[in-house]
Amino acid sequence: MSWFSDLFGRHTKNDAKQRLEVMLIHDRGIFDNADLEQMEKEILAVVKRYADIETGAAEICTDKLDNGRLLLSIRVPVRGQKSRR
Amino acid sequence: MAGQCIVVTSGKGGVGKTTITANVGYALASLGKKVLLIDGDIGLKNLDSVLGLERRVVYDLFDVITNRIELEDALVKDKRLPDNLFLLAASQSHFKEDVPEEKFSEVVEEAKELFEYVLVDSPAGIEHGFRISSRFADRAVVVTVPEVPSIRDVDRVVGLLENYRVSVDGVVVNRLNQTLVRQGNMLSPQDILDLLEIPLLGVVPEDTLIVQAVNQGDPLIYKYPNSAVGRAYTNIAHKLLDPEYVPQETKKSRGFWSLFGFLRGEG
Repeated sequence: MSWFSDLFGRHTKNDAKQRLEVMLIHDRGIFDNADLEQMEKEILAVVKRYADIETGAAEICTDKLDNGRLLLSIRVPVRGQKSRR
Repeated sequence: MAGQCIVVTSGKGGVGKTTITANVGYALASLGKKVLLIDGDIGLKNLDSVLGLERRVVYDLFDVITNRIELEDALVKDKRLPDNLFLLAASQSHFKEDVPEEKFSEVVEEAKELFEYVLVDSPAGIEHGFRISSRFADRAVVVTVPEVPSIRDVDRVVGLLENYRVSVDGVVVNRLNQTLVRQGNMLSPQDILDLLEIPLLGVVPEDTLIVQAVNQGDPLIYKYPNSAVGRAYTNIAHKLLDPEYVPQETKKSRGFWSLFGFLRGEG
């Protein structure tokens, strides 16, 4: 039976690989949502000191890079220069 | 001497950290390097018995950090390589938490003055014992078996090592079963590299010789230096000395044809 399952059976290593791919992406996601929200608030507070920004339209998100590492990106629409004191 | 400290770690237990530490340390010492092996598994201790030195241990790490004895006087000399290979044993009567980080750091720094390579056998887990074993290391070797839980833990550990600013030399894939890989029922080293995205330091085939060597209290590499496993350890040692090193073991000499390796003068 063993040669039969060798030839036609399921190659379990593919299961292992697919499962690990999902697990590792999840495990490497180092920020949880609460962290991200708090970080966004703090970053926007800093940017606001230097520029006139649309706070409501700001976005913070994470993506997986090709090398597997995490990319943290922040989009902040800027209306213009902050008026000087 | 400005030596380097290399931690051998894995996250998961039972994947072969201690065996790798003993055998790769032995290989480095055979290549003429002055090597100290430190058992970081305080409270359990394993490295002394894998090396067969358990009866010669008088002092341990704890005696050194409590200033009961000088580091040099606490070391056990390995009689198989008396000029090059030494062991600092772990203590069984204490817990990992009893060793303060700064004390362990002092021992590592002092050892690096005396030895070219200080290998620390890290305990399993990612708690205090792992932390003290890892964070004062200059470099790290991570060990995994080709199984899902082990690979997942190694990925986590690599992340922690990066936080500690320890440079990861690469991964050792331990206990690879070529038959299962050929059947498609075990992850290959390449599959593991694709997932982990760190360099490959070496592949150690699964072999019952390991059990026999540990039973006898000799590192496998001492008893069977020309076996496939023994050569794998030596290749890892070469790779630690020179990351560009190309292992002697070619694909051709694995599996069936390795039976005829002696015809080509390999063993």
